[in-house]
Amino acid sequence: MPLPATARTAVPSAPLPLAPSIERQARGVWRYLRMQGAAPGEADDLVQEAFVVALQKGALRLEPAAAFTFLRRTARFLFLRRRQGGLEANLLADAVDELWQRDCEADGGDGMLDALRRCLSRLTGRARRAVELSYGLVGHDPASRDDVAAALGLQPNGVKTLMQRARQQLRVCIEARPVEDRS
Amino acid sequence: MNPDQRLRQRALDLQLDALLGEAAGVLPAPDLTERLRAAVLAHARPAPSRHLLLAAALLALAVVGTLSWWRNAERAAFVPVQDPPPASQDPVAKDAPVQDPTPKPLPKRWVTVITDYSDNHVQVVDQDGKVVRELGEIYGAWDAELLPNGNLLVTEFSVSRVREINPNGNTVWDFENLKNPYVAQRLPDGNTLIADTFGGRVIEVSPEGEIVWEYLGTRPFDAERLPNGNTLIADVIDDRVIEVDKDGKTVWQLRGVPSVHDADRLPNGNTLVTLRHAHAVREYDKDGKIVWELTGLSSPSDADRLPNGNTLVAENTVVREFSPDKKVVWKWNATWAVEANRYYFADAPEKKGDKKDDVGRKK
Repeated sequence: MPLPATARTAVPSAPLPLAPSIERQARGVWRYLRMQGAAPGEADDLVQEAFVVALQKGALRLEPAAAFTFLRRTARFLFLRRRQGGLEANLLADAVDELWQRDCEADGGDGMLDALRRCLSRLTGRARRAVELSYGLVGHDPASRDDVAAALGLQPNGVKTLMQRARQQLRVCIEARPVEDRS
Repeated sequence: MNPDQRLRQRALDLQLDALLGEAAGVLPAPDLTERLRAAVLAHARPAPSRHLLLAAALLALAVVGTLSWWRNAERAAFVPVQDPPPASQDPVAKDAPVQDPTPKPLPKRWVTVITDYSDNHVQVVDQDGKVVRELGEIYGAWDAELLPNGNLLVTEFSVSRVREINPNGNTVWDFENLKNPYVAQRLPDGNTLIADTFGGRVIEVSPEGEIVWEYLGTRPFDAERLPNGNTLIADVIDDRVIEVDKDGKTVWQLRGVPSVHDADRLPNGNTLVTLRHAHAVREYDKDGKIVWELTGLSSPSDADRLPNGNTLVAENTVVREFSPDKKVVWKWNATWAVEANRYYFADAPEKKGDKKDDVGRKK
């Protein structure tokens, strides 16, 4: 896949973005990469690489939305180049990209994250605890399925089922968030 | 499920995993923005003149390897910003008040305010084990403080809000410009100190909602204003407890305390620290030496030293009060207790007539 085209419409004299804009864009690209499956440290590296490319191409002088699109596409390219995953990886990246544009493009995913936090607090006791333990919420390190099973007095398979159900409930709850929260 | 549906399901899973990770505090490297900003600034500097370029090129031809600087100039901007040198561990808090640590006889009437994260509620339990007040729908309840006026100051992690709720259940004050706070403390002057945990700051907010003081660059799991005006912060991102003055200068610190969830300065000048992953509560002296500890706890998230010398600990499914010789003298079962605060009431003669009790109920 070729790198995104040079930012031809960039105005060389246009000011480079200030700190809040950089932070917002970096955070958005980082979140996008995490959704593509990048590990946290890997996402840090790729955000840097994408910014280097954007600087070289003058893309950071574009309007913020266009600059972000450039950064996102560049990050996707760099991520896939690292993974060398072939057709299936590309198709999966496309599917994630589609979801990003549907759910997160407008606000960088902040609305979804807020909705998730609200939805987490609405899960019932045991399902919520399983999610919190599994993902290391509220100060824990993420626990293994066996550890979660021990903590909840369940078999590991029971935890698997509980987690599948909890994830589905979260998904439905997030999807059902009010339209005004979708930016 | 056909291949397209499988692919979409996998994409949905990745999206949810990433968001759950972020909700759990998996975030970009703290210095990432700084590095990017440095790169942008370096890029924005005016280019050297043609004469200088020519001179540089001639020099480069003369010295093999000089050109590598030019090639690497962009990359050089990404050298991580050096951390400031660590502040010394000397306990500067020389002016910290040293109070008489001798336990005093306690009043007979007290309540314990228990914050139950999993059940989204706060319970006020009296000395007889009776629930005298209960608040529901406190989403992600992480802290609750009983104020002298009978109101409760509650911190809602999940909806990023701090609220003062009166005995009728009405919100009389709130502050929402936060990202998943853990703790709030009402100060004597009416301001509120908030550990805005995932906002990466500790702030002091006036009753009008104006931020009048802030300390940035931390992930505070706990913050409290000390009698000397400094602020004690449990900074989980650097595994330390710090005492900062009004100018944000670190005047004391305790390093090497991973997953520190709570830190309280005691009247004797020592610091009581709750270590969730170590399943322990430790009392450190000013030099960082452990002088007392409770171990084998169940993921504690809060501990308070009571005026009688006992220690009240919130640990998951139970709140327990331990005597100095580590015997359990009181306990209360919960679903997921994250914070417990004890309040004692002066033994005053009962008055007749219609009045409100200590927790705001009409008698």
